[in-house]
Amino acid sequence: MTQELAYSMTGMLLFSIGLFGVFFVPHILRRLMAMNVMAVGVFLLLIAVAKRNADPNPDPVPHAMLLTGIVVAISATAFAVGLARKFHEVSGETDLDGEGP
Amino acid sequence: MYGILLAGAMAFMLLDAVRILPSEPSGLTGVVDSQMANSGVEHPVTAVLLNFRGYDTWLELGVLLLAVMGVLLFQPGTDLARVQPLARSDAVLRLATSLLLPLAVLVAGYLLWIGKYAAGGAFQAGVVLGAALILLWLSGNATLVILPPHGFRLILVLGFCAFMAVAVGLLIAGQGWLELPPSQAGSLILFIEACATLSIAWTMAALIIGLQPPVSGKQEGGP
Amino acid sequence: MTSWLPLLVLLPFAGAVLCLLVRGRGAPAIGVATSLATAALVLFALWSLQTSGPVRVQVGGWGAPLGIDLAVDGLSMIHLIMTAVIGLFISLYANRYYDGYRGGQKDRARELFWPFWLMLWGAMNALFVSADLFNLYVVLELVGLSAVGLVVLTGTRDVLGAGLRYLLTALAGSMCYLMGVALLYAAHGTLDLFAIGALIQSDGVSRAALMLMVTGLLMKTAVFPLHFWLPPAHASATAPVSALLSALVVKASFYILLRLWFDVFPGVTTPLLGNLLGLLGGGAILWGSLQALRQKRLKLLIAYSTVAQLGYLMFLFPVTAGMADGSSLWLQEVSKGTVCHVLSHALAKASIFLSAGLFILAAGTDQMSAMKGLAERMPLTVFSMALAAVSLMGLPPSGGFIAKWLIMHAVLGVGQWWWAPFLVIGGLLTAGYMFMMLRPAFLEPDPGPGLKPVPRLLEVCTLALAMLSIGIGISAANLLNLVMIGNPFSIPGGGW
Repeated sequence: MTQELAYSMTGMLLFSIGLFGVFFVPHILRRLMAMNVMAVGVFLLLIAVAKRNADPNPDPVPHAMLLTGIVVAISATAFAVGLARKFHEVSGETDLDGEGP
Repeated sequence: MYGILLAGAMAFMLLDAVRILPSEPSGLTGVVDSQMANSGVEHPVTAVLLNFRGYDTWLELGVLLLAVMGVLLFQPGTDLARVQPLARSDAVLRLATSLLLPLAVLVAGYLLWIGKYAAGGAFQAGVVLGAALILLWLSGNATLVILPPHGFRLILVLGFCAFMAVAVGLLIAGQGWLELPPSQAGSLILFIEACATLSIAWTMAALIIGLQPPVSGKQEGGP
Repeated sequence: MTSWLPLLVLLPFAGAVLCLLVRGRGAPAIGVATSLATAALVLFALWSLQTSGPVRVQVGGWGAPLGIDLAVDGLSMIHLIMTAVIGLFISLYANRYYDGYRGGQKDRARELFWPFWLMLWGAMNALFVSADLFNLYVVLELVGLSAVGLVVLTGTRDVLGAGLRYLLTALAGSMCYLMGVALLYAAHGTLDLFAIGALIQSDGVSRAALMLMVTGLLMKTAVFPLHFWLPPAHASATAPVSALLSALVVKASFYILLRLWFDVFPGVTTPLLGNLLGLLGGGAILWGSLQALRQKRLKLLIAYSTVAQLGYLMFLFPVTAGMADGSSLWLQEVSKGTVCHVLSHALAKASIFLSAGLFILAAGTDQMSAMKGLAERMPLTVFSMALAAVSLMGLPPSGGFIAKWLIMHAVLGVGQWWWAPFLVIGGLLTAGYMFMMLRPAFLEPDPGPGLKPVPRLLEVCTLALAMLSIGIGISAANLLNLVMIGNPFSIPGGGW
């Protein structure tokens, strides 16, 4: 198994675990963590894709996508944490009632 | 239970997909290399982020702005003016801050500058500077962090606006949409990155500090 | 000249920043001015597209695959126009609405509605003109975060819970989409939508990417059974926000789905997947309508109606899946019907949510039992509701009628008669919950506290949208010709 394949397969597993967590775990913070696990899964694939090259320089485009993705994920996480704190302050709860899906 | 089945099916499909991904490069390394001379910088990732796909980075600064707006939504006045100060006067923390702060500013400046040649740039620099601001706030010196409302908002939108100003300026000068002329690309990118560094630093600090409860409790909330 | 294209994004964003910097009372004025300017710009763009045809712009002058390309054809343009028209009326409405609003955080809602809404508008414009898969991801996140920001403006328990659920689902959806993008880039080395469409083959990678991207976008479009976040979010937000979300935001992710279906994945889609999506559509119609019939609160009823109406958009997929001939009459017909449904639902739903907002302003509640006697006291509002209901039910000559007629014609034309009962039953159920909604308005009013008067301007905005939802039925031919500029519904390598 090549190094890139190990990275991308780990990424795929993390993505699936995260997807499960976002929908089937009740606690808000855990769901948020699960979303970040999904993101890390995608990022691992992007790292592996960039490195496939025989060239010593990795492909910069997946790296740029990855950096953009990290900033977006951080922003969204911060927003969600802000909402969750306020939700907890107003309702005293840590789960969203009436589970979906 | 059926959640595990669904996740398992997803994992199976994805693992099967990456197994057959072509292993020979089909990326854009070559195309990026061939245009590096026109990008105004020497590091390929910076060239992609700030020039070739600079439009994405502008929008990404917009995402950052929305996040900080969302966090500040629940602060009175939607800024940090009435945030609860930390009543902490830890001598060790103060000493550490006074030692680390100049270093952090120096490192941030270096990261910003090195972005042209190697890994680095506005985001790394902004995060280091943001950490320094949080450290300042933790040690009880909040005046630099919690700017007056107008200045605070201005600094949050600075990076997003710098990109916009460059884009508008170029349009007026007859260039295409976000088309940086190769001769000035380097300095324009540095200008955008410097503004973005400040925005990112204060945004990062605000994302942390904005989660603190306001001084006067929640007299505005509730229906 | 294509300088209008960057301005479509620049103008709303500049307005948003200004609204953020000018605090307090100045924000609404800047907001309305920006809305007017953006709407005028879209009109100019329409004129430009009609005179000089489809546009493609290379951002930064690099060109795909290195840079990001933007492309505008009829499909993009119709979405830009839809956003501009509905956005303009909602802007005019929102300005006065928050003055009369009596809920929590009133001042904050009035002030911060504008930066979030203008960011949303700019992001949607950017979405409709983008031809780059990763750019679409960033734009989707902008749309998602600004929409959630709008939902939680008032900071009550209900909106916070609904906003969080919406945010988590939207984020999971965009992560699925991003994984699809990463896979496509890994396989083809470009992010340009049309370039990938020309390279793609039906293998495990493209099937996985298709599944991921479709799933992610269905989450964001709130298609049954991934609709669970929509009713609480759309029902608990303030009325102008509900109107924006139900009319426009869910259509933005559906637009990407259409683009992917016709421009990226035509060789990968299978009749099985198409039928599965059609089945979800049927499920949405039945489930959403039945839930709507059970509601006691006006805005929840309208929100479930959105769940049901989104189902009609799904019948495009079984009709066109695996179609080899891009010029097929039925493909054109079902696509036109679907776009017509997007438009007429957007107009009708925006209008009906704004009507609900007027009722809330007047009565201070959205319990339907409090609507007794409304027809006598707020005749204009009830008239707007009834007009919008006509379009949602699909009665002639409304836009909803043309849409459902075209879709019905196409599903029968390709011999997939089994979708027809869903369309018929859906229409009947819609009529059911719309009559249920309107019935109390015509009853004898309860003696009790009267209704507060509402500003006439708000009633006019609401009525205008309702009349437009009928009116597009009358001028449907022109609109649908506009959509066909640049031939957006074609299979590469097929028809042309």
